[in-house]
Amino acid sequence: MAARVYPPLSIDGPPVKFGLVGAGQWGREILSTLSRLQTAQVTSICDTYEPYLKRGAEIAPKAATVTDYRKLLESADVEAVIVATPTHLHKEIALAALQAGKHLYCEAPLAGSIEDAKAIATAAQQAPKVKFQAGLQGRSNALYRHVLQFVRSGVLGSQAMISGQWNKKQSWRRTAPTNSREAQINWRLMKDTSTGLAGEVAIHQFDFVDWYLKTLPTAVTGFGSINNWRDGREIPDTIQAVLEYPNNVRMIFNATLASSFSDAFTLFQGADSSLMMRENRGWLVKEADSPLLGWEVYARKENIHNETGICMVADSTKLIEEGKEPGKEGALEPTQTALSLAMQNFISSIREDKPTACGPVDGFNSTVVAIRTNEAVMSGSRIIIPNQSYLST
Amino acid sequence: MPVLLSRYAMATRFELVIYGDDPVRLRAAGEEALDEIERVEAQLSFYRSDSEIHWLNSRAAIAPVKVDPRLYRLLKRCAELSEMTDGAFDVSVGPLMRAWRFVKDKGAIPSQEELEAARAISGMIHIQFDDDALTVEFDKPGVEIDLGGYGKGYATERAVELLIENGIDSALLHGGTSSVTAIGAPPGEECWRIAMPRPFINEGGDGLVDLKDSSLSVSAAHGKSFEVDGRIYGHVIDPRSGLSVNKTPVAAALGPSASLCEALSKALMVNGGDWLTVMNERFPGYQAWTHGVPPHGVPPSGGTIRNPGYSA
Repeated sequence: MAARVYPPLSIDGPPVKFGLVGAGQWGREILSTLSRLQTAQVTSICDTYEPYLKRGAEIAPKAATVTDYRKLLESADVEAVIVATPTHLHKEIALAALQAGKHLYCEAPLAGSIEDAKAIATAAQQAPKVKFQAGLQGRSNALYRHVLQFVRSGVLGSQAMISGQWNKKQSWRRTAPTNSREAQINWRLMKDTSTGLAGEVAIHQFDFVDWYLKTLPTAVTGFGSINNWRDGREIPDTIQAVLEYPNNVRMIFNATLASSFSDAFTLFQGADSSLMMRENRGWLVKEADSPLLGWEVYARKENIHNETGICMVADSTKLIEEGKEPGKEGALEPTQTALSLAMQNFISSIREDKPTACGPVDGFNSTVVAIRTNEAVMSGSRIIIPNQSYLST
Repeated sequence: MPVLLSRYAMATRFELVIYGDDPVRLRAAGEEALDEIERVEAQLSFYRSDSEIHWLNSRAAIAPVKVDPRLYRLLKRCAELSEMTDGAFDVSVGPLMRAWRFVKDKGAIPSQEELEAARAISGMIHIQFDDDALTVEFDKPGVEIDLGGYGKGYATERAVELLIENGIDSALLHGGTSSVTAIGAPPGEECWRIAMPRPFINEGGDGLVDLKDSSLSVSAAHGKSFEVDGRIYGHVIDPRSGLSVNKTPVAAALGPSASLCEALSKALMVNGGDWLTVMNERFPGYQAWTHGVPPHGVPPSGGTIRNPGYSA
């Protein structure tokens, strides 16, 4: 009998056989995540760029390496396909994967245009035998799922406003030995191929808000400019956007590649309390006149400026059992990251025939929000998003 | 004009200088290289509770742990280097360092019982590898891996590979000034010239090292130490005896691989200068020295100590 191995097997049946298309930095992060799971086996990797294929093979030494994704799709040894190519190249590969009857994990945004994204989402809806998961891994984040119960129970009170930011000083530029490869690899910097900071980064926070509030924006106003990286790029390195939700709730969002200050967060403010969420940590701050919740008496507290924040921690009972202090244990072990949990969700939905953590409708709707926001940023205007732009479940 | 980049990682500052025609391209290549250093730190850090090493240390005595194949190969290499250095280079000496109170403490002589208990869970023999399943297992509770003596060299090596892959042919990368790698030479020069500070310089030497497509790693015993009955106990622990050793205050190694240079300089701190001839037989293409002992080994192509002092 095989010895127990960490992480424990969480499914009945053999590991899911994966094919990865696109072994860039994020694709390799996915390979690394899969390599630590007993429930996954990467059997094939595809990239058109030889050095990426080589680097991918380091992480999945037993996988076949191909340069044409159709080869990967033809393989009977591939049950599930992960599309992690540049956004504008998703559609052809995703549709072919669904056509070939493969389960599909498609990175977010689903595509570079709403038409392409709709084609993918519709094809996924019309393929009932395959599982489709959009790469919005926040929906699998254990902390976010935990805190969702409190938000849905009305702990925030009347929703006042939302703000969010994503700050990281980095150029987003890549280089390669040849000019043609360099042009391809810098797809994120050019407006024909990129959905900008709104699409490539903010989509996760927009999706978070859509998920928590069960609502979608009706309009978005954007601003954008190149404030630091004046290197011939067409995509702003700094953006602001105001997203208008029903019931007079608005979200203001900032993102920049010019400053790292204070990293990323999403902040929900309500009349009873406010909720500040970072990737692995969250704090609830109550108003003086808000009703007692009961449990907060026992919760760990931290000072945030002049306020006392109640630390929101997933699995705090388990942490106490392990002798750790909930709230202090902000860091996650490698199999508990949002990406790993997203992969584990995808695997169990395949083996146990359950819905995925983020299906075609949610994936598509958040892609619409992100793409419309990018359009507002690029044009510096207010764009109405009619309700019929979205898919409904 | 060269492009200069730096990043805090592995509790130190990495600095990178790149020469070339297009600063935009050079910066992009540099950023990717430094990103890789950050990724390696996130994976290998002993102290970060979200690192893969932390995960391994907390689980592998209970059951085999499935690790990233890159980490698997790195650990196998460390096991191999432990053998090739006669056990002097060892990434599993954590329990001994704890017994000597060198972890988050000032240091103290352990009792015989403490020492025996620590020795019983130190050493690469306690780490088991499964090449098929790519799992790592510890045979006893308390065994732990700390890549502090190898990680910087490994991270530097990976970053340099990316720079070369991206067409960079003139650059210098160092991590906290103890591990430095040169790609090519600065424009119009033969090589990069590195100056070493006093403790690394032999009598009559000038402390200058010429580097070209090679790496230099230096180790020193300064740092934590304490005194009992007139004897000074430093934080260099011999993994075989479990005792504090003082064979040489400094060691340096020069050669093609940054990670191997780091392992060799660490092994020399434990084995002392007497081991240099053994090292030369086992690691051709590497040159090294310890305090008061002239450089041993054939200078690697592209790496030379200009005026080593003594009669090398």
